Amino acid sequence: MTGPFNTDQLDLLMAAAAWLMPDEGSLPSVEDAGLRETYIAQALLARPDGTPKLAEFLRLAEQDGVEEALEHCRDHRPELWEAVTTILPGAYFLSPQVRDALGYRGQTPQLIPTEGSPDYDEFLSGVLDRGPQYRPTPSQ
Amino acid sequence: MDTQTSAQQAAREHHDDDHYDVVIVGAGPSGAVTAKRLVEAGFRVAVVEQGDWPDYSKARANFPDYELTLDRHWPWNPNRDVEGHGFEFDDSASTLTPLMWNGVGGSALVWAAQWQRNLPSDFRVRTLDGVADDWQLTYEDLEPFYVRVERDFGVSGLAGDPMFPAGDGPPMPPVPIREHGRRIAKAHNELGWHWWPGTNAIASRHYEHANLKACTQRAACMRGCPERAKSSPDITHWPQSLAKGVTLILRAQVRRVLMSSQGLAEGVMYTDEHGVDRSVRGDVVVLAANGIGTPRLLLLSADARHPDGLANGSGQVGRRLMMHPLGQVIGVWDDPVGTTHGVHGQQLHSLEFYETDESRGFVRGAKWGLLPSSGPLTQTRSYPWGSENAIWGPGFQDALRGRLGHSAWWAIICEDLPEDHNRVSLHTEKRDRFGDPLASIEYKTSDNSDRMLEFHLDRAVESMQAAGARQAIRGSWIKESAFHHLGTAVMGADPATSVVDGWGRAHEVPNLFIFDGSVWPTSAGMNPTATIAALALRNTEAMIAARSGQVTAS
Repeated sequence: MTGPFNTDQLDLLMAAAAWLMPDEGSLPSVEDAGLRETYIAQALLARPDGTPKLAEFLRLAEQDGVEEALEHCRDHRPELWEAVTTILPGAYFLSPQVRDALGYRGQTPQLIPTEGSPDYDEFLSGVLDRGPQYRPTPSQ
Repeated sequence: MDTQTSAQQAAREHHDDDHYDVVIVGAGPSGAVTAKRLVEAGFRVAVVEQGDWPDYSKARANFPDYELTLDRHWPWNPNRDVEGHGFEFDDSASTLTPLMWNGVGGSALVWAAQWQRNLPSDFRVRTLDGVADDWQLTYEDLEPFYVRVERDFGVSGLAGDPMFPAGDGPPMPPVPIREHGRRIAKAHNELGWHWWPGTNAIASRHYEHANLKACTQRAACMRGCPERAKSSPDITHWPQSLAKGVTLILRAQVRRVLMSSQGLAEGVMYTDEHGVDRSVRGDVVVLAANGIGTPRLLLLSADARHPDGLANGSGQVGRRLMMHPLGQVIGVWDDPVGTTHGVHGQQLHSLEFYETDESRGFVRGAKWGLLPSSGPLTQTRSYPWGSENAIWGPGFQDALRGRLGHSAWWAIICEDLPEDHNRVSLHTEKRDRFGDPLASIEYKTSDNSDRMLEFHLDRAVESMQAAGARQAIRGSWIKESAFHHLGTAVMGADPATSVVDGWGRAHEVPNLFIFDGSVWPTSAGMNPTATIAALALRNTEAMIAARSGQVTAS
């Protein structure tokens, strides 16, 4: 899966991703996470509205360099900064390697127990002991 | 076949020569409550809605791209008409942007489903605190209607909160309180501060009465619940109402209230999805188009008899806009506290600083609701974390690990008081796609609200610290945070100073009613849908009882 950008443009996006999310050893690097081969393209399939904004960012990066372009967007182009900091980390978090390293399995279902004691019982007496706290409706 | 598909198949088609007992504008919570009760009482009802049904195939919580697609599929800034649920307005003169979702179910499609009754003092602000105005009703007047709408919306929670008068509670037990909630509860007990298990329009059990499935705690409540466990009227009300014969006209932009030569409402004129101007006529018209749409429609309906807008002899239509300044305080714990999951929603709430204490330097107060922080992308956002806590660059990996599953926040809803200069008016230049003036929003928070928010943020930091959070971060302020729009067609006894009476009837047009949050004299500091729904039910029952004496154009 290559997505809408060519190899040179992907190099710049990968550099931007590494600047935002540097390899520090406790999570996969953006390269190891598969952003180049798979997940940038997959993120843009989910957010096609991000493609023209990344293209605009790339024009700045080609002109001024990735770091300068990122700092410029952060300080002066909030719509581009929003797109870059959504699509690239969004792509990173699509990677199963990253999810595994985080111990994050997604917004998986967790059923609410229907039996057993409520989990608030041990604390409620602290509130109830204070008695009514509201201001009642004044009599006319 | 799911309930929405069944409902769509049951929908009756509208013909322009049809005549109804009641025509309702808006299919959100207040319109849904009104239509359901009227059709149960045998009324012929048509509802006109500018949007469409929600598309739950875009509820992505069970897919890896869930967080990426939130803003694409479930936008709440109506100026971004991403998927046909927009409603353009000009908010350049406002410090807050009104947020909403236009379609069947209304803004309940993107609400957190925090369900809060108002307190008795909220109805007597002038008497108790000497500011603003009292309502035309009391908590006790509304209490039985709260109980009924809580059953119809499928609310979960726990009766007995000492901040409220005793009485019946919601039909389902509260959602679980996770580890972060237990730490907050324990801390508040030690501080001597109020807390209570959260009340939510979220089904903690399978709840057949309102077509709701049991919640699975995906923390995805605000942007498309894939289970249909979060209550919204497209699930809880419309299927039953359509099956009983309500006509629901969709993708229809209402542009004027039609008036007779005698000064009575005859129906509404709308433009359909094909650009054709059409009408729907009835004996009574009910506006349920929210605190922005309703005053705009009244102002657009100006005629020779009502040159300043319909029902606007008082000059109050559009004024007194209240939008609830919103604050957040994020707590970050060293160890996992279960915050990737849970309802979102509120695990618990606190009303410790809700009632007025003038020694604090302001009147009125705010309600706090505790929410989990959800998945990894949320941990990187500038809202609510703030640009000063930006996660990018060196330290990213540790910071991410430190937040994910370790962070929750208090959402703080401040009551703002009515002020005439905060208002909705018709734009003098900008027009919508039909050529009608846009709503123009002018709004600025008051000094009282600013002091209130500062006080509450400080107390919420103390709450997080007492609960053992290693960091307590004041959330960033953003303009796009106003989910509540209240007060722009105020109720009152005096036609010289109010738009409708205590039953929602327009003083100047006896067969025109307003049943949404526009009529609130004050905003309380609560999530408003519980009171909007209860008030709509109360006023609908009054309309039914007064049916034989109702003046109509026909």
